[in-house]
Amino acid sequence: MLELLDGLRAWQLLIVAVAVYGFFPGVVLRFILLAFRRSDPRRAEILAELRAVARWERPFWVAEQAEVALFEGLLERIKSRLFGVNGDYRRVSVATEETSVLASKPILLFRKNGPVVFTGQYVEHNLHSKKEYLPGLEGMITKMHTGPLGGVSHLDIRLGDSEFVIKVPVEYFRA
Amino acid sequence: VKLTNALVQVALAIMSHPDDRLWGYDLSKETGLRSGVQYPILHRMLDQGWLVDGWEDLDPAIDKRPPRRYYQLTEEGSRQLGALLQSARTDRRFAALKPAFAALQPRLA
Repeated sequence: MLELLDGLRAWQLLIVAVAVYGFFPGVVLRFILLAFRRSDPRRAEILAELRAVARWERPFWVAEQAEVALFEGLLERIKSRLFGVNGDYRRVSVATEETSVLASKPILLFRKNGPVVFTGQYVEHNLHSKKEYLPGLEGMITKMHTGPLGGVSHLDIRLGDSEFVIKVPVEYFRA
Repeated sequence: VKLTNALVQVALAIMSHPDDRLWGYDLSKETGLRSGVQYPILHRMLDQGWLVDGWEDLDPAIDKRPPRRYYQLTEEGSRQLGALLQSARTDRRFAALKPAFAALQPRLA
């Protein structure tokens, strides 16, 4: 009887170990990465890095990624929604004096019918397909969407070939 | 650029493999920095053109894993990080990193 109980305990331990070190890290990480925008390369990057992490270390590493996703993903998403200003502007603002002056008033850069250029790779996902827009692609603003606090958060643009791309977060553009 | 311990550690790690492809996780193992500290630094370097990034060339179906993103030092990055490390080397705040500076000495000279 005791042997049977010992055997049962060993099975339970094995199942817990498989769940904690094999199953949960990948599942939990996928949930955590939802904090990043769908087009953010960090989603794919962090998921791919998981395979390089030693199995015993994975649960802790995944927990660490929650911090990255919270501050780099979610917070910037919220900031962009509310104020229309985001991390990309903050990042370029340290590059030169000129960009930092521009970064202090990013909202003024965009105006209806004004020109814009993609500064990052934007991927638009549809139900069965995805389309990529590469940095350097130029367009014209047809509509500006504002966040709850009045800042520009998204743009609708028309590309040179009369293609329309709608509701693209402003951090993908510069005027 | 504000010199911080984390920035200097990342710069040291990158400059010790100037021609190699650098992977985020391996870099964090080398620097001992948390992802939440290291990735913002890497992305700032990307924005400034000190690094370029790319994706591993593999077939996920054959290799049974997704491609990893790598970072690679640019010429401009090599110059800027070299200058950054030169000024950090004499800074007393980074005295604990002396052995790493010593190992890198021939490249910084």
